[in-house]
Amino acid sequence: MVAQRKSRPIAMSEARTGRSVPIPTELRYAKAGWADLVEGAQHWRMWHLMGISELRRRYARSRMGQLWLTLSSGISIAIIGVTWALLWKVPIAEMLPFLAVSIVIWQLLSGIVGDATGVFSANSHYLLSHRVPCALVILALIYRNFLVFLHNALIIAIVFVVFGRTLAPQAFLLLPALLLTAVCAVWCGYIVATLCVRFRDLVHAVQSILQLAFYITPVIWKPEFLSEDYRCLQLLNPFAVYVEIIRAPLLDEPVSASQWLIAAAVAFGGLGLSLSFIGRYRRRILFWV
Amino acid sequence: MALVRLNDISVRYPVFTPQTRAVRSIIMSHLGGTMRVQDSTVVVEALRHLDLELADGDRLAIIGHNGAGKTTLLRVVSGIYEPQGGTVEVEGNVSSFVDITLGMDPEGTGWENIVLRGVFMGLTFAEARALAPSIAEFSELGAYLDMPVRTYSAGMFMRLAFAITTSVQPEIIVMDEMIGAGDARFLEKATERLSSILDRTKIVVLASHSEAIVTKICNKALWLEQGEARALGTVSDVLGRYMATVEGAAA
Repeated sequence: MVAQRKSRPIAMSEARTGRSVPIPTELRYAKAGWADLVEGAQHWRMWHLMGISELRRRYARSRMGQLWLTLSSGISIAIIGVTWALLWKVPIAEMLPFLAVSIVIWQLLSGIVGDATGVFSANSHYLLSHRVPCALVILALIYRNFLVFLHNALIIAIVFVVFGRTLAPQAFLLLPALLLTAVCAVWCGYIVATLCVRFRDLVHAVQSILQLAFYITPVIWKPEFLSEDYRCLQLLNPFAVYVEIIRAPLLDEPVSASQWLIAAAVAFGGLGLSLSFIGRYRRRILFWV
Repeated sequence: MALVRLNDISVRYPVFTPQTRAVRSIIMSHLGGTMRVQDSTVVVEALRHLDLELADGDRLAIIGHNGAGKTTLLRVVSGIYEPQGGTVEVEGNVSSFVDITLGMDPEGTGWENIVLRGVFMGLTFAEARALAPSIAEFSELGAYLDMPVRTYSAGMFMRLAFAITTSVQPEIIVMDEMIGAGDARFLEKATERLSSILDRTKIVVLASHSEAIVTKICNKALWLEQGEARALGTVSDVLGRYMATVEGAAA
């Protein structure tokens, strides 16, 4: 790869002594982190190709190819949906659309966090062969998970058609919700990936946390199942907030302003923190992979 | 004008392993960089207080034993590693010929891989597509380019990777061992293409164990030993001294 560089002074040694520049160190790190993200965005051709090659490789030479993504989620949604409807005596026509939407959203969220745990080690050859921003592998991972989400959206479409559901006008809120998810994914990716490559035990810890989060987040159960007294606890669970703001537009359910505010705060607050974090560690990560 | 200026650089790798104690027991090993314990973690000093200045026309050979710091130095010049100490200044497009297959996908066809590899070399889709016909011609892969690359033999795969990588003229080339591809006849053609690219490159940095290649390509040599510059000077001088110690050790 051809990398454009002009007299690039070493940021790290300077930042440590901090004598040449009066602005606070944290801000300098945040600037470096922002530069990493911008450079990553400029490499969109690479992460686009990395995203699609990875999916293609996974389903290469199978007759149905990527359709397996849709098929395997579809089968589990159908089976869980019917079982749940019978167990809790909820009409299938109500349970199945809810489950289809929830599970597809959950796969997006948990896929991003789960993949982030190993993303630096899995892509070490990209990081160690050329000068590339850390954001490259993070964005490739987010992009890939959104592609999977699009494949799975087919299930939602089929379920909606079968049960005669239509999209309400407020479905357009899906776009800002997914946008916030992408912002949130960037900082989660940065932080989870960096911590997991440095402390390898966290890889397993994060996987366990995801498993637990699946149970405490209203994915396969409805938020209303929780009694009124405890429902506000869901606002403390960022997974629940995100599942809610993506799901509600599709199912034409109301979303409270507090949920949107929390989602935005988590996304942008986290992004700010993660930029100074990655600005500080981005070059050290290469010694840890 | 291309330029590489390293001023008093030091690169240290922290070694994190649950068995840090086991690592400590091999600290006295002679191979590789110097290891030491710093704040209770084991640290490998891959490069120590290295100065280097390269300008247009310089072809530097990096020689030394395994683990002397050759690859680390290449990564510093490529801008991958930022040294913990010292300053690095690089002006010019750096192209790494270390992994000439980077970005290629065995499931894609030859044509698709030309675009894939091209993008990873910094080209746009349109630029990569524009280069495709000449790459195809040079690779002599013909109808195979419509097949998935996984069906290629290792030699054919390397031919394609070589043809794509050498289709762009960089200002600075960083190489870990000489690259080449194919059978005897193709190898000759590849060597010719590579030398014409190297001739037009402003600065070449090549890590190599081959005396013949170093003598043929380079006009400067740096002998690294345990991360330190043991000697820097003309190829004949530095290589002569290096070979003398290698032969001395063997005798």
